[in-house]
Amino acid sequence: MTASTTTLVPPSPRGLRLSKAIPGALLLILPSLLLSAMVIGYPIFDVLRMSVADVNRFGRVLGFAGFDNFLAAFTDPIFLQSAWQTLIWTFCVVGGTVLISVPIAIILNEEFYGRTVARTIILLPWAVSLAMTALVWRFVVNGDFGTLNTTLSALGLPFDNFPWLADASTAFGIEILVGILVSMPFTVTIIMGGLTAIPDTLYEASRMDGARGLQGFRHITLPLLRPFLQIAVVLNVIYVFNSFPIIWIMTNGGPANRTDILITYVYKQAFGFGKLGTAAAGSVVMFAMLLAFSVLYLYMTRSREVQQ
Amino acid sequence: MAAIEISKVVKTFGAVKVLDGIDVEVKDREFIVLVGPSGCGKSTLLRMIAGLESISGGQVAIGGRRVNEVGPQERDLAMVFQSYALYPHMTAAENMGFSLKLRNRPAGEVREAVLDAARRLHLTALLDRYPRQLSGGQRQRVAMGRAIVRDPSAFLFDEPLSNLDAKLRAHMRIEIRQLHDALGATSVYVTHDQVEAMTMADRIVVMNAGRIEQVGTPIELFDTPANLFVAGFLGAPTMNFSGGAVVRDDAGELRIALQVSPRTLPLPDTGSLDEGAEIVLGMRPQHIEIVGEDVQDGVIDAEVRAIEQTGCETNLIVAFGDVEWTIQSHHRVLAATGDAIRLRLDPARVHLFDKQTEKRL
Repeated sequence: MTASTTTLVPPSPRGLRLSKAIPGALLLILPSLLLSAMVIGYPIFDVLRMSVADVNRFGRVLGFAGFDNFLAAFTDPIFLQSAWQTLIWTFCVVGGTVLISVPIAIILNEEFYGRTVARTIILLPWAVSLAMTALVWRFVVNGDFGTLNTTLSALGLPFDNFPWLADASTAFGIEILVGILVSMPFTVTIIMGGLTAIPDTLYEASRMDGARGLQGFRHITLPLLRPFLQIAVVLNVIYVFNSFPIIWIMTNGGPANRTDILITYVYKQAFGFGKLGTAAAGSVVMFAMLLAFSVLYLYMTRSREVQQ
Repeated sequence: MAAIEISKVVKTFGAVKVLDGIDVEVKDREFIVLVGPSGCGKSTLLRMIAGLESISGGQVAIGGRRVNEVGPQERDLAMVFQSYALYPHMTAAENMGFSLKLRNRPAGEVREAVLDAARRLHLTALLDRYPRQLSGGQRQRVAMGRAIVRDPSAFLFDEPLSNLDAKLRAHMRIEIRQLHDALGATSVYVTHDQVEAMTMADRIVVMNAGRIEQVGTPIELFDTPANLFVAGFLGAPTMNFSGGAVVRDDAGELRIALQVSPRTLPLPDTGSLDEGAEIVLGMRPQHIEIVGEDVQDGVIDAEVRAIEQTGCETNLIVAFGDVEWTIQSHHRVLAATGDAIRLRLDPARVHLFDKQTEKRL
């Protein structure tokens, strides 16, 4: 009888193993859990606390402030402007990165002489720190002695002493280009992984079916790259949204806050103006936005696993 | 449907010549099987017909039109791949209708054509599924459906059954052949499985090391293999071979002396053999008879090394010293390992090959 019951309703071996394993396993990972909780959890908690507190410029909490900090942030035109610029920054950098990375990845996926060298060159910016890259580019576009103006002038173009970073639109444009440059290696890597996962026979089959020119790209490459593109977009949004060094080093958010994004705004509020409460409120807003994206990312990777 | 003419086709990869002067004429509505061991160039030849591989020399013509410089899109051929190569992001119906969609046919027409093909292949219930939701056999059918939907001038098959289990493979052999007949198609079919070649083909092209060894109907190739390679490649279990020579006996008659036996065998009437000629004798396992001690002429003696009973037939592995032969009998043979056994080789079914040229005598 017992035997027949067990064959009819087999106990989930997975469940059994889990429930047996949990106490011991938990004990083993407890130290790292505690460390993570401290390193990650404590700052989150403290920012949340400060965002609803009256904080003085030295970080001392003076009392409960309710939503005053949030109100202060949302009524600050520079906060709104920075939020808008963050959207432009993120959209342009991520969009530009993906648009440029797809053809680059396709080219690097083809067999050609010197492919390894080309791949290394494309991946090189990844190896350099963001701050160094930003610094180098600040020198390059410097109006008076930058190599960009020297080159353009040598070509006979009227760019002598042209102050690239003094004008908000050119400054932001250049920062976006640098942003694209540093985001590209990672994105190319993801897309190349996606490309190698597409078997050549699919292209052969599509050619036999009559696909010519870009039809193979449109009907085979693009749809099969979609999950990789989604992940590239979401991860890039998370990185770029929060990317501090390029803008901070190249323009400091200037001129006149026209290149500020939320992260530089928050930094200035906290360490420039000593408004730690407003900065905390701004951070919480950013945190919420990024959390939404992270959840989206987890959801996307999970649904892919389920599919497979 | 159309005939395919392959004349003096050469394929080189760098310095390596993988196909060397191939001539095959596939007649309209014919089922041709290219068979050979792996690496013999049969798949390369098929891909050159398809247009997926460039042609280094010679000419491929489809329906009388030279297609050497024509892309696979313009050759109007359909191909079934070994891996099926179904588009994973499209349903079975979308896979099958893709070629028509690329030709901008109206949606209604595409649907009709897909349904028609699906009915032929018993796929109607599976049309909305994605390839990952289909079994191997079903994927194979969808790949076939994708090929027949657009009514091409010829079908190319690249080992389409090699990923299926034995039972399904036997079933699909018949189904593909029936489909070919029903559609009045021209088909070129690549396989390394000689059973597929024997059962499906109108004519078989046996290839080896970039050359054609023999072209003919399955029965021609089985009964009169042109050389040692073809003799050894077709038929299961494989043909037994023994080296030997033509000798003159005391009565002045020409006979065969085999390396495997001290007894001589009567020489079949080939007309061209003289005393001293060095030969290789081939004997199919099915054509060797087990006889009693009383039979004296045309026999050789061996020792039983192993016995395989499959139920309907018995496979005996017998040994003459170091040389092993296989014998297949439809009778139950009750012998044990180590027994001495006497075998009669039917002179009418002996295959003789020249030892030097390996050609049939």
